[in-house]
Amino acid sequence: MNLILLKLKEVFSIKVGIPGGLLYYRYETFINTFLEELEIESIFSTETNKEILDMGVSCCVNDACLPMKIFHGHAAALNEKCDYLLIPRIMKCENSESICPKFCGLPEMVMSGIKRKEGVITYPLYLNRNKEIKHYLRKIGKDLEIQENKIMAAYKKAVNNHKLQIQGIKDQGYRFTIFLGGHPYNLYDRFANMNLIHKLHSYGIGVITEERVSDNEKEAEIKPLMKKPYWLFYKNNYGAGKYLVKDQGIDGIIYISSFSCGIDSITIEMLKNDIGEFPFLILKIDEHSGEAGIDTRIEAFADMLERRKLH
Amino acid sequence: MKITFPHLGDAYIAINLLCKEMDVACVIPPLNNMETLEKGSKYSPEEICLPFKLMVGNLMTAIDNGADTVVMVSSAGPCRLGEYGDLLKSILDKNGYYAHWILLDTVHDVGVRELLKRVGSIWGGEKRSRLKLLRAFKGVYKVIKSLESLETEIHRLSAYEVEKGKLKKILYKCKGDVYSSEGIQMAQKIIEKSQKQMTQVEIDKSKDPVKVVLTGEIFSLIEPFSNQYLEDKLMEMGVSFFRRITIGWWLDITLVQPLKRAKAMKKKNAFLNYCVGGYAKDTVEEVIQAKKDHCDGVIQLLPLGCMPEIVAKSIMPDMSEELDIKILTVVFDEMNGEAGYITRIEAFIDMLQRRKKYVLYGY
Repeated sequence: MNLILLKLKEVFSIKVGIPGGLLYYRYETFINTFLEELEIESIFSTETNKEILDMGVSCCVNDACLPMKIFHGHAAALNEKCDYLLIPRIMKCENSESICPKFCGLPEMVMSGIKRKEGVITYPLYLNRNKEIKHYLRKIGKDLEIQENKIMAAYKKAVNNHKLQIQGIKDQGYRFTIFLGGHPYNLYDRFANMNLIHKLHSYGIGVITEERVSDNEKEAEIKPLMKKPYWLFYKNNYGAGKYLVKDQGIDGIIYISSFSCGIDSITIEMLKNDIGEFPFLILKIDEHSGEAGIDTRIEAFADMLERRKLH
Repeated sequence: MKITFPHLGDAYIAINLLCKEMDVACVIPPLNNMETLEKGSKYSPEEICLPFKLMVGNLMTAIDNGADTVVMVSSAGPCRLGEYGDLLKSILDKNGYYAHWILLDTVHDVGVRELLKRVGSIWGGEKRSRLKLLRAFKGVYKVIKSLESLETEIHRLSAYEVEKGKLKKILYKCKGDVYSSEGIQMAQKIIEKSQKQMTQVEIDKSKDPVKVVLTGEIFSLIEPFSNQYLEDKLMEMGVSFFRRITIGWWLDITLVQPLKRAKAMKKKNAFLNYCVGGYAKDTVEEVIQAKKDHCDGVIQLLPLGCMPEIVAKSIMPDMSEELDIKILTVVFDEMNGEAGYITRIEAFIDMLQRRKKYVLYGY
């Protein structure tokens, strides 16, 4: 009897696909706890690999940046396997910051890319208001036929777990320390950045990321600007970079940016103009993944840090 | 105090009139040309969009010509325009072009009082009656609106004219005259005169030209240099075309009728329901409207890397299929390969003409 029930559950259970691209790395704990608590069967697309990238490149509009193409690849990999595909439409970030317009139009881009019209969860998500997040989750609950009180309980637990998780990297005990700037999906996607952090470690270079600089310190650095920046990634990287240079805790900056990124085109230039003479390496990544080129440049940068220390 | 501003299509005509009316000295940078672009590309970051590069060129020339205050529109949308201000200042300062900066944000973001304060600071603290400004603004708004209605009509009619090029000449003469006119009343008279001239041009109603809608990113659309003078070429090719996005339209949605705009933003359509920044949603709506108006095709223009328009572009294949309308997307950058653009646009127009003549015959 139990076996039959189990089988029945398997047949009728709804599978939700979670693409592992873009801000998945930031909200991994939240998503996983939430789904586990509700016992929703979910399929996670694997970590990014060559196959996923190729799929993404073939179904994404060619002007988009590398992370967008990777996300399309993840969605395409899940397309056949799941009943519901979760594509977040992030309209505002936690402190009312804006995000790249492509995030707001992500569902439309993906849906037209992978030719899927039904079974896609595309509600807008305003992360700056708790009420809106709850509203968003309630709507998903309605789609999946889950009771509201269960959703709220799972939400509470997921938020707690998310808060407990320590974001970002702050290495210690290396010969050099650098600030590694960039968007989280470029920093933590080991395929997209060709295992950059590991490579840096092998040259004796430790890494600090923007998450480890407090919001107050970032705010103080962006105060002198004429206008408060509205992009999350601009504010974080510019504020953190400037603070760390002033603080003199770092030997250099490496900024990893995807080709034709609109936000980085401004962030990098502003940072470069404001820090004066300071070692600053910009690594551009795109779908052609020329690893040898990246290696040479990191090596040269490491050599330069070494020479700077000696003289 | 001498103010200056970056070029945005025909905005310089309106701002010139407004400054004359308010007795403010202003330095208008030379119209966008190759020199502007070269100067701009040299000092701007590589990956920023084309409008920014042109603006850097504009402002550098203007400051060389004696301007000391830059007035710049701004926004808080997720598009890059809102962050232009600080980056422009940082680049100009770095290269020794110092100026005082006034950023005009929208009322929605900074509130009416702050905006009025900033507008007031253009006169260097001197107290002038806001009523005078309001009256001047109203007059200039009327001028720009009637100039645009003349332009729209000429875009539509130029495909029908018997002797090619007459309407185009009227349009450019009118624009030049309005620019050099003494005041609002004189400008109105010039436009009325041109309107009369336009109606006297002989047209051949039996012609059946292809009808095209121009849409896409606002700067590429209304700044002729950035789209390689596309409109002139379309007029020469004998295409009847329509472009809704103009300075007047922009004034409408940001200053004159913001409430109507807010209502329009909530309107749903089958393809893109949310404002993703910039005017991507409007681009999508334009295409739907073009189908309703029985147009033959749509040309979408965008500068390389424009974030909102990429979203619109990715929906275009779907729209083209479902609505059965032909769409050409043209991406502009500073490389200026004019021949490449002409070939593609000509091929698109040829295709539309053939389709109209053979495929859709009898529909």
